[in-house]
Amino acid sequence: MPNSFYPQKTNGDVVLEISDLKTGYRGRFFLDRVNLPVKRGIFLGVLGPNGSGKSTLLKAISGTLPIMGGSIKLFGRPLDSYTGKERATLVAVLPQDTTIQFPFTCGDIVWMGRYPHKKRFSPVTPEDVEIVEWAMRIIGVKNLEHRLITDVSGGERQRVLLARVLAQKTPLILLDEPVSAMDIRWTLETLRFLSTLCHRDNVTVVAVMHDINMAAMFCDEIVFLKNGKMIAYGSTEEVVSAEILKEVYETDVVVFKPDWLCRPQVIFPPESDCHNFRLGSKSSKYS
Amino acid sequence: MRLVKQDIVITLVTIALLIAVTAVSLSLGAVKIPTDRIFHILFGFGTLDSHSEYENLRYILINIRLARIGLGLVVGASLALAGTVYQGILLNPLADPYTLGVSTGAAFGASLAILFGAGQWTFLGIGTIPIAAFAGAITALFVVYSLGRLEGRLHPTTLILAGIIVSTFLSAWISLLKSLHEESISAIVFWIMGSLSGKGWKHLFFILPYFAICCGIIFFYASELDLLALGEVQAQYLGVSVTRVRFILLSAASFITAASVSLTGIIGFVGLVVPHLMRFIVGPKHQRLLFYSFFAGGIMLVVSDTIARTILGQGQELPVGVVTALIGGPFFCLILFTRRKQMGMSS
Repeated sequence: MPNSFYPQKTNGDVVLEISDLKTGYRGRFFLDRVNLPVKRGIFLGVLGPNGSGKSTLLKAISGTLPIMGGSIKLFGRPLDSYTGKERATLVAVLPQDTTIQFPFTCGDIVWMGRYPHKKRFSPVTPEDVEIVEWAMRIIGVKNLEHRLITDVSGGERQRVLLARVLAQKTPLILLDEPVSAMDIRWTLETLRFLSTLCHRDNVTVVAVMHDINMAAMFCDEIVFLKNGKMIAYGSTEEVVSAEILKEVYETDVVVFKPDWLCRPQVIFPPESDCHNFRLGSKSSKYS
Repeated sequence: MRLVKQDIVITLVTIALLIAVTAVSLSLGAVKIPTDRIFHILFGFGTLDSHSEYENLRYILINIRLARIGLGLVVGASLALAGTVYQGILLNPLADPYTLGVSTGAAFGASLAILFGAGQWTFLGIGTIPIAAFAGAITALFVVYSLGRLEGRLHPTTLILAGIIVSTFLSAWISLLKSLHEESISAIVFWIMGSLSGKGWKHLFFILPYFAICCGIIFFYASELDLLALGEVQAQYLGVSVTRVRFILLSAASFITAASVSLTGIIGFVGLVVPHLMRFIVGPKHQRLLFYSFFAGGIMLVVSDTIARTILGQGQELPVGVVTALIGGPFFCLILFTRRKQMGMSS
């Protein structure tokens, strides 16, 4: 396994330091006073209800949204001191919207991940070939290499773009709903692989997710956002709790921890009294 | 890297087509010149009858036909390259070199020059009309840029809208100019329809610097163009300075369009059909796409121009814009209906 490709840049243990971050669109703050130290080798889940600022946070970290207050430090240097290409060798981003209009082949798309590492007109090196092959094989898109990106399904497209993200070989990976279009098999395989990447290769993954159970199963740490503010941040066992989830999602929640899993899991009962619901909702307020 | 074999085949076909088209275009016209004489005059071998005939043929061949073919190749290549860039950056399959109002600006400038009877004056050896047209095109472009600016960035949709607004406004002014001065109508109409007639080496030399510089810029940024074609967000994530590269590429494409249009008038369809056709044949990767569009655009315009100047006979000419539209239209329909997806029209 070519882990040696990952540059071992360290500055303490914190890869990304977000302090007092304020950012948003057209003068309106979407994120307010976010403080987040992202540690090396951590799989961090970003969760929260719709419009809570999850994607905004990723956009701010990836440098595509202006910072209006506070600071983001990437490997100890302010984010805006990097050029676009430099930043893209350190941070790779999987966008939420994966649609591509032009009929590139899936292989072409993965190869674009090498762009930030290449000088203009420099030839393809065996190392590039090796990395791209590795990325396609590990994400299971090698068989799609010659298919057109406009012809494959949404889940396949998401995996092709994930392979491109890996081909960037960055020590920090940001994923905006990375498994939203994948079936359960690929969801599990992808998350398992990402978690291995964190723990074995010391890559840091920050992923926006909606499925709390998947997040609880694979993430090391979770940050909950709501209305642009941080509600909770900590290790998965700490923050996946009934009170926090209830505060974040404003809905009833049952948290349990199966002995064989060592991780908390969550059920959102449709009504507060589960027993009655199963018996045909005699006590339901809607009946 | 892959598809090397296919590339060689396509390149050879392109070169063969280019030579064939040039040869045929050289021999056709009011005076038919057989191939052996063309060889003799251009390369100095073969048979020849008399000296005066030689001088006549030599003049027609080199100063009229060859110059015109050269200009046709350059203008066709410019329009096709510009069209490829516009489609890739504006992410709109209907975009062509005239989307940002460059052509209407040029037409307005030319109309003004015609109206004030500036056709007779010359400047640097070429008429005032091209100069006025070029000035009009560049002015229109800057108006569109300043209208299309959103929070300091050029945004595709806003740019297209700004282009439509400026074009419509200037079209109204052209109509007004035409109605003010009825003697100019035919001159203005003929100019707008586009023609390569009466153009010589000096026009070619006028356009060459713009052509060389802008082509250089466009090919230089070919790999960025691939990433921009993924959309603004993904391009930015991959490290492209979207705002800067977009501005440079759009400006380069607009400048060669302005230079072409100011010499030849508005020749439609080359900049729209050729990029689509080539994307269909060689795929959307821009290094390859730009290279082949460049040649295909030139070939298409020379073929169209040869038809335009020979089909009526007796030295009469059709505007070349009419021919490109008549050839390009049905062709476009054909690929549109058969291979919609491969053309980047899936969304």
